[in-house]
Amino acid sequence: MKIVTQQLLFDGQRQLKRNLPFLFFSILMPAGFYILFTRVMSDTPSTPQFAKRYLTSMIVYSGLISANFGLAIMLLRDRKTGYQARLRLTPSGLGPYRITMTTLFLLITGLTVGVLGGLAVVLNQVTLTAVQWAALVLVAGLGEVPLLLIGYGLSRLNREETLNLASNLLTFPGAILTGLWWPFAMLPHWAQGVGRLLPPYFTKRLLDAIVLAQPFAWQHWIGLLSWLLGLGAVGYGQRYLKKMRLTWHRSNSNGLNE
Amino acid sequence: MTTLIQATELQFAYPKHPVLKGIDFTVQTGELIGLIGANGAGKTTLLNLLLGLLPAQGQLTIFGAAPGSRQAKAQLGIMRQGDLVLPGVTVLDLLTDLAAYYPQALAPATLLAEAGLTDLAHRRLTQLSGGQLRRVSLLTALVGRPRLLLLDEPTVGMDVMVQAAFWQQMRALQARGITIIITSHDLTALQAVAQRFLIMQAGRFVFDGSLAQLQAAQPRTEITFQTDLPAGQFAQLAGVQTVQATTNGLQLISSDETATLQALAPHLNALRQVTITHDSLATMLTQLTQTEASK
Repeated sequence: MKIVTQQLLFDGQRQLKRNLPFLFFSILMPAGFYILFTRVMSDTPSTPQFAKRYLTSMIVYSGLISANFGLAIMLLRDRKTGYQARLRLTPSGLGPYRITMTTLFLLITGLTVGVLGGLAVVLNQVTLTAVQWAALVLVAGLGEVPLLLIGYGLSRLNREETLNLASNLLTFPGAILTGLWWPFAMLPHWAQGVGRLLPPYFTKRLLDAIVLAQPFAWQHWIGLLSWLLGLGAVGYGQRYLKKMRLTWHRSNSNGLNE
Repeated sequence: MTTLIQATELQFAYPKHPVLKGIDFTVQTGELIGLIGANGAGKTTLLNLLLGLLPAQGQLTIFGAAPGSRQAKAQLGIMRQGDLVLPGVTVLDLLTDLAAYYPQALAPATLLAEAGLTDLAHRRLTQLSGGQLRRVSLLTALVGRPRLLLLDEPTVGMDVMVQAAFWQQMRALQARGITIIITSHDLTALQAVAQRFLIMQAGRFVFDGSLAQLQAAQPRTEITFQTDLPAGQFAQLAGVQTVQATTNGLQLISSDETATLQALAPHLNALRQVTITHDSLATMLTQLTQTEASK
């Protein structure tokens, strides 16, 4: 516990307190968009429904940016600088670091809900019950997990330039296809078909159900859980293959003295 | 004396490329060992096996446990090539973070004070010079209060003053009972501090012993002097292998220093500016590896 607490302080400090670009892109930019599209770019005040729907869009969009840019780049840099290798050589290994990274980005999701929700309340008089706020944080966190797993996968890329390209290709088309930037119904039929398969789509629909006080659609839960299980299985499979490779390597080290 | 490392028939190979070909050695508490050899000899691979980063074949234990085990890692300090330059992180942040991972860690503030680096505590790693980063890297190796230090090319990037302080610190750490294994191409400095040398070539140890033992195994002394006597007179002296006229005078290469000096004694009145030079570790390393390669 002591290690996780210390690591959380360490990572929180370098990611939040001393990394302004991350704060800007993952929290301030979605907040700016929220203000822009619900207050500034319209002659008439936003309807309460639009103010709520756009709030959930920006929460999910912020999560996409955090995972694909924030987490993935941080992990890649920690690997390239040798920090992960150094932690691997400690008695506790990389476990506490992985737990902390995931926890930190889930906390950032909670922070984002707080900041964007605060703006929605103050600027657009959005009112939600305490249960709705709590559900918003929980479901946003759950929806963030598959995105973080994708972020972990992206961080395995070798070069930061390649990672930036891959993150851009996943994040912005992903945001457009799942209706985070403009209404999903305005997208062409084929784009809607693709968007309906992506994790941000399911999270966005679940969050919409919470803020609009509507019942959840079971297929959105199934979609989100499928992504969670699928990506979890990929991660597990990768670790299993790595283990197998090591075993293979050991057995093939025989006959060195030929 | 306690055995810290025990390796028997230690082997490692990448597919179709053997790197270590059956190494036997032990390391006792308090030793300061220079692990040397040409690039590609297998030094870094050996360190990686000791750290548990590569799967070893053969028997290898550190502190009686498997390499990479929690028990082994808790007592190991490592300084690798390349420094941790994490953006937005201060020296104190880094040491505090790493200290949390070790059960018996030293207080970062104490560590910084002992190294005379307290003024760097709140400086960001990205603002440090190459030499300062190397010194901080050494502190990251020491923060877990290790009993065994593995240092891979620790002095690269250090200026002369920092290097001198570093080697002095190695002696001090050894005096405190810490066992140290260093790979370094700075053989001049290494031969002044290490008591034992492990010389690697093509995945094997070609020498394991002290500098004196290495010199005894390869007796070669250079005796230079000025004289008016004819050069041919010295070619028949005991132990003399070659006689050569150089700008500094006559140069005798002897394989038996004592015998040659005794043979020179009767001529002492005719000799001026006599200098006796033993081979450096670098020269002996070159000769040894050439000899082994020709076998």
